[in-house]
Order: sequence, then C-alpha cells, then structure tokens
Amino acid sequence: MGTIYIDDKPVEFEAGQNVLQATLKAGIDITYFCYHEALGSAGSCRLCAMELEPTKKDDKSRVVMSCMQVAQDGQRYRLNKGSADKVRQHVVEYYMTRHPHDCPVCDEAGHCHLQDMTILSRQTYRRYDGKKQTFPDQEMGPLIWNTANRCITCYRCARFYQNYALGDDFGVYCSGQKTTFRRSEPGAFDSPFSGNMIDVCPTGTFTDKVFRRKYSRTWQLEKATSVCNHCSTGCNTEPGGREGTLRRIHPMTNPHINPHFICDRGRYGEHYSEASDRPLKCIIRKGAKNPYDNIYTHLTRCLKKASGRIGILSSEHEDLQTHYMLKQLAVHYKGIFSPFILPDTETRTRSAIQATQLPPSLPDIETADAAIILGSLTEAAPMMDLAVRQLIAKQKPIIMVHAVPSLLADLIQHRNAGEVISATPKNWHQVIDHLDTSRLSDEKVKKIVLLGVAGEMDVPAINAFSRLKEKLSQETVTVQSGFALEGANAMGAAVISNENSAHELLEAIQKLYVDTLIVCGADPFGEGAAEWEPLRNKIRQLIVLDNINTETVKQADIVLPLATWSERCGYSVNYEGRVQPFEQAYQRSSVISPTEFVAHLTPHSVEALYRQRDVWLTQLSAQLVISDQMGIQLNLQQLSGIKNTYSSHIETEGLQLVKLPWHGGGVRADFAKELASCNPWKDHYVYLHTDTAKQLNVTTGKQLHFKSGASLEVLCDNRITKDCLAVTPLTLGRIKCKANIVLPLHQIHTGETDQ
Amino acid sequence: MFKFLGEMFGAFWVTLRHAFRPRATVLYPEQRTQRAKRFRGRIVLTRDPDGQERCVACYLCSSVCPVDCINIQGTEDQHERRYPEKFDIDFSRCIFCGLCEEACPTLAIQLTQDFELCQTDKNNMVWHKADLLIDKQGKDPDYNYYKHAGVAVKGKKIGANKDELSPVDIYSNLP
Repeated sequence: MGTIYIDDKPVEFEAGQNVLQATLKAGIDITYFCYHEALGSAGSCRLCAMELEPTKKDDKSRVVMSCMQVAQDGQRYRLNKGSADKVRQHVVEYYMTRHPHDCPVCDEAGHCHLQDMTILSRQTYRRYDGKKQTFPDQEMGPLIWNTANRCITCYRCARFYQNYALGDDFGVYCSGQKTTFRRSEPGAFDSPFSGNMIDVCPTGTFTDKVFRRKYSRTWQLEKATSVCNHCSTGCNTEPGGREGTLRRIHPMTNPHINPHFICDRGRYGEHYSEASDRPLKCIIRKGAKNPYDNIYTHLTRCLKKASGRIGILSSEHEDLQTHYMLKQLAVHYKGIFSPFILPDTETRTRSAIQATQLPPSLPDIETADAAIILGSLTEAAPMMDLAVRQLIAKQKPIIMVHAVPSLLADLIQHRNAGEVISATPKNWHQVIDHLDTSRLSDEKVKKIVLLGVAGEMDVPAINAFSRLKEKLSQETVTVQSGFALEGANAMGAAVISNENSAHELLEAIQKLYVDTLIVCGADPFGEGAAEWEPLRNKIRQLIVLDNINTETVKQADIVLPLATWSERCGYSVNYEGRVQPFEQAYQRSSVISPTEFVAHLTPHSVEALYRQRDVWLTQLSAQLVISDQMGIQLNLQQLSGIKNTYSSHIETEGLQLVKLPWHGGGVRADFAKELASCNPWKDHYVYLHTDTAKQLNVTTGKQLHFKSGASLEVLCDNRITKDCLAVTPLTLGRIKCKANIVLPLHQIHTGETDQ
Repeated sequence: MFKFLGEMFGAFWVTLRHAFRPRATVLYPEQRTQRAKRFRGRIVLTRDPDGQERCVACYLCSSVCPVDCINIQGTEDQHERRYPEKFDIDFSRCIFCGLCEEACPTLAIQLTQDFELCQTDKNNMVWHKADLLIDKQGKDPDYNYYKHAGVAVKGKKIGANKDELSPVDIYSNLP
C-alpha cells in the first residue's frame, strides 16, 4: 500500500494500518502496552511515542503516539534517534514509580510484557524514593487471582471484558492516580471468557489461580501445539507440562480458528488430567493373571479367546488416530467398532454433517452481517459464541431459538440485539419453518451464518434447518451453515465409522454376538446409561481405557490408564471438517496412548501402525480439499460415508427431558475441580418452569418420580422453557434417561398421587 | 667426576636443610586453615529475621545455574506466602560458581565456607530442602523480602510497608 520510514528504514504498510502495527509487523522492537491486535489502540499508555519528522522546512518535528497515527505514504518517523526515545524511557520510569517489588513472587515474571518493555526502554533504576500507591486486592473466584498493586492502567482488561466479550460485571473504578479495575462485587466472573484477562493483562494483575498452586516459570514448561478437546470448535492450545503433570493451558494462535483467545472451558477444563481420582494404574478386578505375565500378555490371551465376539467402543470425544487404531484392533480380532456411544448421538451428528454447507470459521462468523442461532451456543461451543458477540457489538441482526438458559440469549435480550425465541426442542422444526426472517432481508445483509447445536436438535429440526438455509439463499446473499457437534471429534467419528455403528454394536450385544467390550475414552454406563445399563450383564468382560474416573471405569473388569490429548499425539476434525494434528506436550510415565495399546495387542509395531495411518490419511485426502488455509479441510459434500438412515421413534406428547448445559461443563471438564466448582446448576435436581410445575402439580422442594425408579427434587426456574424437564448431564445418567426424549405424562408422577 | 659428586651431595644437602624447616602444609583433618571470606562452598537456604523461610521459589537460581543442578517446585501456604515444596541440589554436579547466590532476589540461597561433601554413594550427593535449610540469616542478618514486596502475607497487610501508602478507598470519588 505504501511505505513509511522508521529511523530511515523503509517499512511497508497496508491501508488503514497505524504506524505501530506497521512497525511491529516489520519486526522492529518498540515499546507499547495498551495496543492489542484484537482490541486495537487506546492511546492511553503513552509508551509507543515516535517523533514525526516535519514535511515543510520551517516546521518543527513533533512527538506522536504511533498507535493513534494512521500510516501515510512517505511519512518519516524517528524511533530511537530522536527525542521520543527519552519520552518512552520517562513514561516507563513513571509507571515503575509505584510498581511493587513483586517479580520473584509474581506468576507473570518471565513472560511479562512490563518486564520486556522496561528492559527495552533501558530503564533500570528507580530514582523515585517517595511512597508507593497501593490498592486492595479482590477475591475473583477459583480461576483468577487478582493483585491490584501491579496494575499499570492500560485498560486492556476492561476493553476486552466489556467491549470484546461484552461482559458487564467488571470495569473501571475511581479516577486519576486511583484508577483500578475490579468486579462489582467479589466472586467468580460471569463471562465464559474471563481467563483471557490473564493473557491480555501485560502485567501480573490477573494471573491463573489454578496454575498458581503448581507454578513453574514459562521456560521450564514442556510445551507443544495441541488442539482443545472440549468442544467441536477445535481451538489451538499450548499445554505446558512439567515433571509429568499438566501445569497450564495457553491459547495458540491460529488465524483461522482462534487468533487470540480461548474460552475458560478450554483453559481450565484440561486440568481434569490432574484430578485426584484419575485412574493412573492398571487395575485387574476380574480374571486371574499369571504373575509372570505382564498385563498386555494377559489381555492378548483374553482377546484371542474372545476373538470374533469383541465389541470396541470409542467416543466422539476421542481423536481420529484413536478411532483408526481401534478400528485396526477390531479388524485384527474380527470385532465390531463404534465411535459413538448412543445411536441418537450418531444420528444427530450424521444429519448435522449432511446439513452443514460452507461451514463458517470463527473469523467468518465475526464478519457476517446476520446470524441465526439454534440452541444454547455458549454452552455447546463457547468460542462460536465469542464470535457471535462481535456481531452483537456491531449491532447486526440476530435470531436465536433456545430451550435451556443460555448466556448468549440473555445477552441478546439485554442488549436488544435481536429476537430470542424460547421453545421446546421437539417443536423446533415448526419454529424454524415459521421463523420470521424479515429483519434479515436488508440490502446490507450479504452474509448470513446459520449455527445449530446438534446436541439439542432432533432430525426434523435439522431438516428444517436445511430448508431455512435454502429459503435464505439468494443470489446476493451467501448463507454459511454449521453445527456445534457433540464432542471434539464428532466429525472425525462420523468420517471413520460405518452407518449406524452404535446401533449395530448395541444390537450385537443384545443378541449375545458380542460378550467382550473394549471401551476407550467413553462412558457408556454413565453418559449412555439409558441404553447400555440393561446390557451390562450380557458383557462378560469389560476392558476400559480412560483418563477420568467415570461410572464405566468403576464397573470395569480391567482398567488401563489412558493418556490425555496433551500427553499423546493425534488428529482431530473440527465442525468445519478441518483436520488438525496435535502433538504430545509432556511425558507422563504411567499412561498409555491408544496406539501403544493396539501395538501391544496386535503383531504390528507402533511405527508400522503410524505408517498404515499415513497411508489411510493419504487415501482419505483423495476426498479432501487441500485448502489454502492452515491444515486440510474435508469437503463434506464429497464424503459418501456420512449418511444417516437410522431413525428412532419420537414421542410428541409429553414433557421433553433436556440437558442443562453450562459454559464450563463437559464430559471431561466436569472432572476439573476448580472449573466445576463454578457450575451454576445442581446435580440430582430437576429444573422446571413454574407453569410446567403447576401442570404436574408440584412445587419447589417436592419430589418427582421417574419410570426408572429414580426420584429428583424439583426446583422451579422460569428461565427453563415450558414443557421441559431440565437436568444436569450427571443426573441424566442417574435417572437412566437419554437427553431430548419426550416423556409421556404417565411416566412422571409425584409421589402423592400414588398414596 | 668432581662436578658429578658435587651435584649429588649438593642434592643431599638441600634435602637435609629442608628437613629442619617449618612445614608449609597442615595436618588436615586434625588441623584446619582459615578460608577467605569470599570462599564458595556448600550451599544453604537461610531464614528471615522472624524465622520464616526466605526462599519464595522464584526459580531464578535454578534458571541461572550453568550445570542445571537445582530443581525446585514452588507452592504457597494458606496465607499465600510462597515457599519451595521441593528444593533439591545435586552436589555431584554443582561447580560452586555462586551464580545462584547472585541471582537470588530474597538472599535466601547462600554459599558457605564448608567444602566437605564427600559421599561413598553418588545418590547421597542430592541434598533436599530439609538438608539445605538452616535456622539463621547467614550473611545478611536484616533482610526480609516481604517487608519490601507489594503482596500481603500473614502479619502484613497491603500498604503496610515503610515505602507504601495505605490502600486507596475505591468507593471514594475524591481525586
């Protein structure tokens, strides 16, 4: 676009860039605080001062803030040669007058922006000998630690929290010398993105409280590029481990998914790997083992005996490499493999993938002109929600349909940013078909994103979603549709498995064709208890690999400790069909990766299995589109395997049982105790709308009995849609019901009518 | 011939003369010499004047160590005072360069005059925190890091240091 000169060195810039952006992009070191790539410039820190050379002969040069100066062709700036150098040094000296003597006990030290900038401006000694201003710290819940003294008032935190993440429970207090940044009252943040304040803050004012207890300096951590396994967005992360334990998760920049931030579930949910009840030893509960054998010789003998009668179950939360290896195991022992626990999940996933067209990436969502959201998006894929929040900030029209309380729905209503429809999921297909889209038919609307939450939609709703897409598509309007799937690698699971694999496996166990079950990273007897619990006595031997202490691990005959995603390598496919590899960050000695497990039980070596995997991936890439973006992206229209032919009977009369999600919850994230302590929903309760409670003749505190024999206490909450019974995922397993089923009224009763 | 005899008996004479001179060596270990003040020997961890551990587990010593012989894991007590949960020094690797002492911001780690660290088993050369921690302040009797740091610990609130103002009232509108 043009050239500016920094200390006589030519620097290229793009249109609209400011001088600081151009300078940083050219790799020139310059001090700055308040500027952030995602948050823009504020001009408040006065640290990026440069001297602008005069264009006319008689003019004087002047000191300007480079972040507020739009680059113009031919401008000449003095960075280190002019008087601005002294200005920057004095500004840092001024910041340091009241900065506490905290570096040895500060978690930020070592990757601290303030340390870097102080050294860069060659400010080494404190001349000021007056008294330092101090601020009271605030208790900020179990995830974030606040040390208010360290603040340099760059406003980055408030700009992120209020302007970018659209939170309203945190802000600026006082003025002048007393300026400080706090929550309105002590306690945990409401926003699902509060953890980013740690990264956004250039000093140690906000630090990671979970990391604090097992702290290590950044250069001591073993890090790698990894992919988050807590939802189908597939954000890139950088886990840091030391001495075989996970210490912290940082976001890893991927301009096509998460350029800067990750959600709290991604940041804190990964600490499930440090749960005190994590299985870290091989346990044999049933079957005598020859004392001279190791566990794999024992397992091989067991499996050889059971050859032909083996079922292998993985889950949509496991990665593509695991699925591939387990499929190889199934081939070797003539078993049946399914990467889905429940046929319903498989049906929903396959239908959703069929309905996905031009899936929008997160930057696509951020730059759209309108959005239609079906389901509680914050709770299913928080980072998609953060992208939608950018549309709300720009006051773009949004329509949202939801059944359970969602932070995004509250936000849309609170900001008056669009229409929010509360409806029972069983009626969603009608709601979608009759959706009033007139507010989207503006001339300015060129790109509409359609986002669905697969976990809350049934097949008719997904079909209605496709119809809506057809209806909206016009010559001038691009419609991009995508789904937040149930599980980080649900897309990969659908790619690798045969149709109706879950149904096939359940039927084989039912008909006694299969009596030995290998479960890897799945929880059929907890999460899928509704369908799996009756089959437990038909399974003679249950071999479980897992990294959390699930109900299935408790019931298993043989337990093997499985490595987490940070502790092994693999491939994951996100909701867009983007295949992303992840690396092992650190080595935990006692755990086993699925590849090693399969290598122990088959004649193949690990290397041979990797070679086979590479061949398979190459074959798959015949169907792949090599996109110009990072990684490879699957062309979903060309994939023939993803068809959905299975359909289950759907009741229409009665109350619908829905899962109560929250933004930090997940199959694995629930085992991260600090994050789980923020869960707003209580287990072993059923949440109802007051009208539904009246219909059932119950009030808060009364018991509600289910067909399975379990009973739950009622809590009335008017945020729940009418005709819905909302329970937490754990409670769902306890009452042995599937999510989204419709319970006829005669199956639910209050104890009193019986008497 | 005379020259040869002269050299031979000359040597005997020198030997005989040195036999009656005072000794330059000492009879170690019965006798010991005074070592220079700056002598760098066995490493210790010292305590504050009020008896608390000085080390705050900032990892600077283990980072600066050229032979990588220090291994630390920090944690904190219920009053948020930081301390090393684990502090191991492998004396079979330590070269007594003193960089750790120089790097230590709290004057916790100090090198002493002691140099007798022989062991018959190499594994015994790894000293743990219990072996390293002493009861006194060592070379710097008065320094207490937490009297200068901005964080609150047990017995010291925010703004209680000599060079600090008391915390601002965040609910006041006055400038």
